[in-house]
Amino acid sequence: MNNPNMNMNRPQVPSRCLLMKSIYEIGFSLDDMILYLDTHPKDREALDYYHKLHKQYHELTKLYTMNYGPLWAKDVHNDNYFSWVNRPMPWEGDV
Amino acid sequence: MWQYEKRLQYPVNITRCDPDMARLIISQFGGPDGELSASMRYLSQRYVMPYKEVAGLLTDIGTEELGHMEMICSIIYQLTKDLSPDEIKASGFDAYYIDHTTGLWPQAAGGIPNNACEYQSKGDPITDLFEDMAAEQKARSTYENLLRLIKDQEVADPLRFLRKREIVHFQRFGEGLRIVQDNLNSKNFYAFNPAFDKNCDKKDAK
Repeated sequence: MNNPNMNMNRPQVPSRCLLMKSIYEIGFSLDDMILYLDTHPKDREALDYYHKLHKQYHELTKLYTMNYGPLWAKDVHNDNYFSWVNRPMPWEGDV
Repeated sequence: MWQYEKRLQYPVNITRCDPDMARLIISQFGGPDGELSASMRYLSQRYVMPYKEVAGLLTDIGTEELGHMEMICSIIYQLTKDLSPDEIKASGFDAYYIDHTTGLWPQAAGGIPNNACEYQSKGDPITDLFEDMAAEQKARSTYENLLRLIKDQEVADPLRFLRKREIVHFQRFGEGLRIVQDNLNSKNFYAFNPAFDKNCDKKDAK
């Protein structure tokens, strides 16, 4: 990230704080839609919206994991294990 | 099974210590209408729930409550971080500190330990859903009691989010109750317990 040449051919990655803000927003919409769909499982429009949100969430969390470390243990590999344990824990309140 | 996602459901960023307030907010961790009891109540009730939409709802709300418990614990942790012995002595946090230092332990604001008697699980869908709707209202009242005393917006903001979720959960449990009743004989919802008695659904009636 500190090497200016590394970013020349790549679009700018949003800051950790900004990316996490989007993850919070889309993640919350998903949480709320899941409860709605539990009691309205045949609502076609709601299902389409849920899938749209789910796709956005997958893209955001993938971008986050690539740049700032894994959000789930299943996304831990040799290169980022340290960031799984070393990153501030969510209750520490950095984002 | 459950997987941990390494983030809170809603952000908690508190920059000012307030051990007195932590001592009150801890009721939403281990108190009678707190998030721990809410989660255990719904996750215990779901096994015998005969209607799949409602069993799904109990699972998903019970899971969300675990996330709320994490938010409450984060608030308490941040409100009691880096306290000096003098600050502890000057605040009402000293009695808690003697037993737990600044570690998290589920108790009510009055010091009563978390109690499984609050995980009401009766094995009757109508009974359990009325219990759950009442539980959401009791949690809403508790958040409102807290919010009347809290001036710090960094603390009030996540508590307002949690209060709103109680209202949404109440609404969804009401829909769950409607689903249960739609499956029963409308002349007498109480003729059978659909989680125990056989052939009590409307579709089974001759």
